[in-house]
Amino acid sequence: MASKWAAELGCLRPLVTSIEVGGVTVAVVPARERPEVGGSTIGLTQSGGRRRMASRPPFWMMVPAVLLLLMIVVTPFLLSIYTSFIKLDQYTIANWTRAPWVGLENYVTAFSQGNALGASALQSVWVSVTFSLATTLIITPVGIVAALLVNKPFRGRGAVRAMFLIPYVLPVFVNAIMWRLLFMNGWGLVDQMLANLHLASLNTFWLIGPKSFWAMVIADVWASWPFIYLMVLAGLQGISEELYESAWLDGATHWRSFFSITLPMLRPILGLALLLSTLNHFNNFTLPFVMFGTPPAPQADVLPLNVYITSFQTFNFGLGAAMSLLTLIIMMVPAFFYIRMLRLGEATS
Amino acid sequence: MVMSQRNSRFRMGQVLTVLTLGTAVTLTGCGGGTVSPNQANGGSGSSQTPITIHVFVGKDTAQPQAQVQLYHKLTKEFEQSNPGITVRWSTYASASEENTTLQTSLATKQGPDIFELGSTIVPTASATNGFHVLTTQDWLALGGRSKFFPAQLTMSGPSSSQDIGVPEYMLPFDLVYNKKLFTQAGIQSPPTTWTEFVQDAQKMTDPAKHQWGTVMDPSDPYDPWHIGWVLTKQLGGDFLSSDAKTATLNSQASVQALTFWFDWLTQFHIVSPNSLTYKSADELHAFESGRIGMLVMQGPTLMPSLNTSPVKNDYAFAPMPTIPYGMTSLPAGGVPVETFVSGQYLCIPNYVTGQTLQATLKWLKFVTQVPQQQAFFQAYGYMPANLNAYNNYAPLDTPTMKSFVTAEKNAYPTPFSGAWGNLEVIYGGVASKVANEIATNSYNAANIGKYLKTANAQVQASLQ
Amino acid sequence: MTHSLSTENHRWKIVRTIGVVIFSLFILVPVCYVILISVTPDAQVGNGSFFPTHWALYNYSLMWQTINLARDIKNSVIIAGLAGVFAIIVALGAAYVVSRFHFRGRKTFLLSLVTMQTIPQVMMLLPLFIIIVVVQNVLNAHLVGQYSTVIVTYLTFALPFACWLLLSYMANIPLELEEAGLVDGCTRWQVVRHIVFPLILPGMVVAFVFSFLLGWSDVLFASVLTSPATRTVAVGLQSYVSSGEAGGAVYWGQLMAASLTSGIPIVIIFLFLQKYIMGGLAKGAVKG
Repeated sequence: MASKWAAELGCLRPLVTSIEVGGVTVAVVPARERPEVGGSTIGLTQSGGRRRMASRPPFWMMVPAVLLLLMIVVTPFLLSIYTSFIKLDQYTIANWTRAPWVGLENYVTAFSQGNALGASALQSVWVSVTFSLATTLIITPVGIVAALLVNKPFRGRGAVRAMFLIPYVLPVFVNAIMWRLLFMNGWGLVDQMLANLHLASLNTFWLIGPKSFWAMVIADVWASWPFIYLMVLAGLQGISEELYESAWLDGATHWRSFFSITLPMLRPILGLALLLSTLNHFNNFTLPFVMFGTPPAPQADVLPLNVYITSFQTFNFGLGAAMSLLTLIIMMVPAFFYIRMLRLGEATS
Repeated sequence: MVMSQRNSRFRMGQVLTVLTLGTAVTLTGCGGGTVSPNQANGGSGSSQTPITIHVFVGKDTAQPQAQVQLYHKLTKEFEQSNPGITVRWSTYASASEENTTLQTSLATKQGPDIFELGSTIVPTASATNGFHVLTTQDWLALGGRSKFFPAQLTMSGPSSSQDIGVPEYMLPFDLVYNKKLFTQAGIQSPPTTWTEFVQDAQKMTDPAKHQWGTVMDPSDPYDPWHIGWVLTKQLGGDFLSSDAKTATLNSQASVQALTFWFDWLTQFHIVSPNSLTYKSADELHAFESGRIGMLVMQGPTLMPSLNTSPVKNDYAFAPMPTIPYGMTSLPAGGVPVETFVSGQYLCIPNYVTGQTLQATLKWLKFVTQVPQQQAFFQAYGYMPANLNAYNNYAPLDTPTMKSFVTAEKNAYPTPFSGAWGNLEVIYGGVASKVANEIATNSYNAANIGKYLKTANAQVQASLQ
Repeated sequence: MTHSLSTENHRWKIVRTIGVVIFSLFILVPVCYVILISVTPDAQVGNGSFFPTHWALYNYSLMWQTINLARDIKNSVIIAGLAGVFAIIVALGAAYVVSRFHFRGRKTFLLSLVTMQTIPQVMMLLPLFIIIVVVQNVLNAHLVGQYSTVIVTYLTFALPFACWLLLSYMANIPLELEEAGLVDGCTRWQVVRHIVFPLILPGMVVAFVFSFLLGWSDVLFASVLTSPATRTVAVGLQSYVSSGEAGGAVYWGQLMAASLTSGIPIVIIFLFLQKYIMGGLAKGAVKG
């Protein structure tokens, strides 16, 4: 069918017109000739659902990516899978190719007993999942609001936009040190402020105990909301002003316009941003490592930290790999459904 | 169209297959034995071959410039007297960096030619069988075992025939106290028993003035076991049996030791609750503010920092108390431990062979000689491991330094076990759990025994 | 009449002002605290009083000597910059093929991109190091400590990330333009170069910025894979905080001063690219 269409294209050629949009000349195929145009009601050209180019894919363009991923991700990954089945510790590391095969022992330990501190993989996965979800859920509205605030020009917008980037450009290491200082018990700024406002006692422990989870979330939220802000700001540029104008003429308020135009139009980019953000926070190692050090409070013992302690501090690389792989399997299920839901793989928005 | 799609699939599959195979071949092609460039050098046998040795040492953050200058001077001196050998040096800033580099180097048989390792990681390094075992000739080439402090040699290897580490510096631990606060509280001399220690600390504590008798750091990864082990030894226990085959973390002495440490906060109220989140740097910082009376288990490396702080004129070192709390003499089996054998050791990975190995031994001899040992001390206060460096050398003849030398006489080695690193992590976990409980007001002293029992099982599992 | 443009605009102005003030406080309070610490003598950090008795501006001169900060910043810019550039170039090819064609293995490729994002980097450290050394031995070249090695390593997380971002941007570029180009006799390369590239450029800038930051913030890989000459600033900053068995000390003032200083190059890069990120997308073919 596609090749037939390609043949048709030849005769369509004279119908291709050029129009000028915002100073850029764009060639457009008249809509009536587009096969299977996505149900766009807002005038956005959407590369139709399942439609693809018909000619042979230029695979050479993928070669560098595939080659690199194979070398720097897939092969080490396969090596980790192997590691998870052997007893790789301080006694065998110097000769790891001959480390004894222990089958599923590492996996059993990961579930039942956990690392040397008794923190099991499941417990850490739970901390990591709640941490990444909490962070993402908080930064999303914050980022959207920030983007809306500075989307339209006003005096001093440049300065405000620059300021919004500050948290994001501070290295994670610095951010972690900064928040460690702010959360110090008794003399840290947070405790001092809480005590002065009579909201909590001066001895509100943030770096140990259950509150360490929230300390970690706060520090991460502070540093990472500009990610959503940038993505949304970029997405907002793609929304035509005319949409708002016509909505306005139809009597819609700004508030209404936000929910009926802005949010739906941002959906694809937000979907992606949420996925990337969740995965990124799930893998955040530097922040808790620098903020709490080892050993962390159980409530802040995220999986990367647990794997680090297991692998590099207690030399139990096999167990560390098994923990990571278990997590991967657990994480793949929701990730898979999420991708299906967003249809990110499809060239459609 | 059908044709074209099949074609595409075929092409894609082809590309993938080639790539996968290519990578696999690359990997298996050399999986058998990795050859380090050093070995290649060593094999040539010609004395003309220029040799580069890579020395990997801990960064001295107290005096970074002094370290750079000193190493610049030392490498130049060494290269002049040993033509054909070039010395490169790099530093690690933290124990985690030290660990990671050690692990990656051993796994790949490639990395630094000389590792500077802390005394408590030497047993782990020894257990890997990845380090060069020093032969009798090697020791002779270094100037003989007898030139070193005997206690330091106890951590060089599991037995004198299996040494892997050459003592480079020693870091015995002392008690450091604030003379001004002592005078204000009317205390004549530093405590020699833990009972006195608690009494003195109570005299100096005044929470209204943010002034505390002492300080603790249960959130630090190392300090908890430092103090816990010393107290346990004084009470007649240990963390491992003498053959390092049985874990004894749940012994009564061990439980009593850790409980006593946390009693400082919960029973005696001689430390600020802020201490619960402290790491060693925070503890030192608190002492330097001048509002802490005593700081336990501290080495001479602290001095550069103390000397630039507000307490620079007010601090003094004294031996650690050795008589357990509530006792007037050591209990049965108790040893007057003031410090564990602590310091830095130079170890050569066994992927270093041939002429490079000879070159590294030359460097080891060079840095353990009296002039170089004294130069290290002058530059950043590391105490020589070479006995002769103390002869007729005024800077090491001060009361402070003498107190450290005395402490070294009461230095005992921690059990030499490849699982000691695991034990450190596990013990740190126990201290952290207890601190968490205190911070959330759910502390129950009986839990310490429970946690140590679980920890003991964990340690036992990691013993080979 | 409630539905009035000027009323709404006026209201919006108030809301915006309040919003900007709240955000400013949220951002600037911790930042100001960092600035304050950077000029506080170390001994006075956290001693109860908020302002120091005297300003320790010397922290800003001492920090250059404690570590080789200038060199570390240069290294970070080079490494993170090149990693970002390579990531978007390589990802562009992959994203183009995946978004435009159906082929077997496409789904697998997409799914593996997500999988790669889920792998804890901590787990990859040792295997990756082993691979690098194996390659090093095969090529008989020194790789550990080289810029190229660190850059390639950063692609492990920057590449999947950039692929995803570009895929989503690619979805916004109408197929018709390319088809027209192909019909006009352009080669595939010319289509990508002259039609797709200008339209995806804003997306590439965004992907570059994020990839750059991933590399900029990394501590774990850089601490193992760099030599003193190629040490990145994220690792270098750690040297102001020593930790170890012999006890530790923190140069609070210098650490904070150096952190602020090392942030300046990225802020500049960001400000420079900002107009491309924001302006560029609007021009694209998203408007039909």
